[in-house]
Amino acid sequence: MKPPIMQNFRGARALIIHAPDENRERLVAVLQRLGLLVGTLDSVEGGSVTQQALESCDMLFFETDQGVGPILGGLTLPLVPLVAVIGVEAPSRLSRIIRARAAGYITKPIRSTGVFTTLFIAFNEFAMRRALAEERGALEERLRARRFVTKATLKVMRTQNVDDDEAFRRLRRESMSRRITVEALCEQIASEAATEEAKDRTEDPSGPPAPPAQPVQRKSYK
Amino acid sequence: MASVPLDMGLLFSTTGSYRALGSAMLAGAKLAVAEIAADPNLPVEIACHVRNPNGRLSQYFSQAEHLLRDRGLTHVVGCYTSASRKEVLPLFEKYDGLLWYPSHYEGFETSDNAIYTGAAPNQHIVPLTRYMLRNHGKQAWMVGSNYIWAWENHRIMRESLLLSGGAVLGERYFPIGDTDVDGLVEQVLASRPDFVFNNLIGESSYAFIRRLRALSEAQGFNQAEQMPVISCSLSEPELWEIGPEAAGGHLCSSVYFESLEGGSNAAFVRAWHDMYPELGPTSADAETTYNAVHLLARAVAAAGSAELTAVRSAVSEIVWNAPQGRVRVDSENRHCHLRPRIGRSTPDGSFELVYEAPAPVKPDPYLVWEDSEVAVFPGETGRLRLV
Repeated sequence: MKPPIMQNFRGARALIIHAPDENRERLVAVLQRLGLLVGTLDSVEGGSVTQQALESCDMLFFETDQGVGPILGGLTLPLVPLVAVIGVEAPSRLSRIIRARAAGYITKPIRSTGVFTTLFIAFNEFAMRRALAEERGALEERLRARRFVTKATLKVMRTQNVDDDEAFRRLRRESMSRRITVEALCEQIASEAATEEAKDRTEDPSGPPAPPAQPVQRKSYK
Repeated sequence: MASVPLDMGLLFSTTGSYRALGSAMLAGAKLAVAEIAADPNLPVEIACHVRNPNGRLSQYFSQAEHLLRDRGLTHVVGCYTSASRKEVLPLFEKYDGLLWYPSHYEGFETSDNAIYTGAAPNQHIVPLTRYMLRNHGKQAWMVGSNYIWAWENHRIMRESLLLSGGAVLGERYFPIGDTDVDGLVEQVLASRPDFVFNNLIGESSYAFIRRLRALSEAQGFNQAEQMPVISCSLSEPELWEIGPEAAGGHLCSSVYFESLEGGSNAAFVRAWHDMYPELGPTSADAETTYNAVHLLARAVAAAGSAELTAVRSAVSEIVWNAPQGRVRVDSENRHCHLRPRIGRSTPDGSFELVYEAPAPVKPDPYLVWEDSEVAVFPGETGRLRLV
């Protein structure tokens, strides 16, 4: 689902990690004009940037001209929109921005024009990425549960003597009545079936083949 | 013919951490000014406005602003580090001036308000990389001062090595001015790469080269032959600084060496030593600064005015017979067509040529056109590559 477009960033806490110069001054001034609460740190070196400082901001501006290796090496980047402040447009600098997955950038010299665009794109791009990540998480979960759906469907087909379409319809109806996803229901059924089979094996490991699995006890699917 | 007046700013740090380079560049500019004044066929009358930003970024900004805004200058020759250039360029764009930037640098910039007379990356690091891969192997150690020059050169070298089946055995960075290199030298010697790519600058570089040579000799290892130190910036004055015990056997990629024959180098070297007996040898940075002033004066003469647009369009029509040979400004990206060369240093502080491009190479500051050649080694990796 597409998140709504944010247009007002009043009250957002922006942290700027950048050498104290005119560019930073201009950036601070424009951000404040746009209603953001602005904090500044001079550089990553010297240990002034702590994990705690990073965790308490809603947006992080970082300078890309200085340093090698990952941005804020040693610290975990916060889950907020990251904005690269770029002076030198060389690949060794720009590749760090990609690896850090910045949601926006601004090139120096910083002027008042362009800062709002950067904020607008960074916040909304970040929200979109979050939405996509959640969607992907849900899809991955469904993919993981697919084997249980198959198992449960087969079980219903076998025990209730119906075809696959009907078996799935019954599973879906049951999951709706229990207010859980069909995947969660199927996982339960599959694990119950596995427990029963294990029980059978424990009771008589060398005996005759186990009888066909019992239908799910608690409830009929009709 | 009436002379065209040219007010020219000269912005060089003759004090501060890279004063030796700034002084050599200012000397190159002043030598060109003296020659232009003495040339009856060049009707340009130059007034110099010399400023010394002392190696400090804030002073680069304030002094450039003073020259452009308060003095109303259009042309300034100056800057050495990329940081200083980046600091002042917005001012040249704001006041519509032209910065004549006279040093080799890492590229990835083409301001309409700058003329770049030093080598672009396809004229220094790219030919060096190719030369090393063909002649010295594919295992490298990389060491540099911790700023953009080393980061970007290392990136290009690393990518080329990896794509050619080579490897980077180690990589370290040092703060500018740091001379605590003993541990580094031991690490490098222990891993025995095919060569060491050195992007340290100033004292750090000299300390590293001296220590590496001393320890290698103590171990009976012929470092110059088997593990040369290579760079894109080592110059003759620095070899003098390093001293005769360790000055020989290093490879450097540069468009200019004092030992070059041809071009107008013999006259340039003679004039340099006459004018500056105390300064020692000429160097690439001095020569490209000298070229910048000559190109500027010739463009002003051709345009009949120092006005920016006229000069900018006139300059690409000029072919300047520089000490390094014929030089001209590219009309598309305003960098210069220059001839890449690689020299091997001698113990007495000069370079002998080991490679010379057959002709001047078109500048390619974004490495857009050049790089498909960097690591093409059919028969080794069997594939073409584009970065």
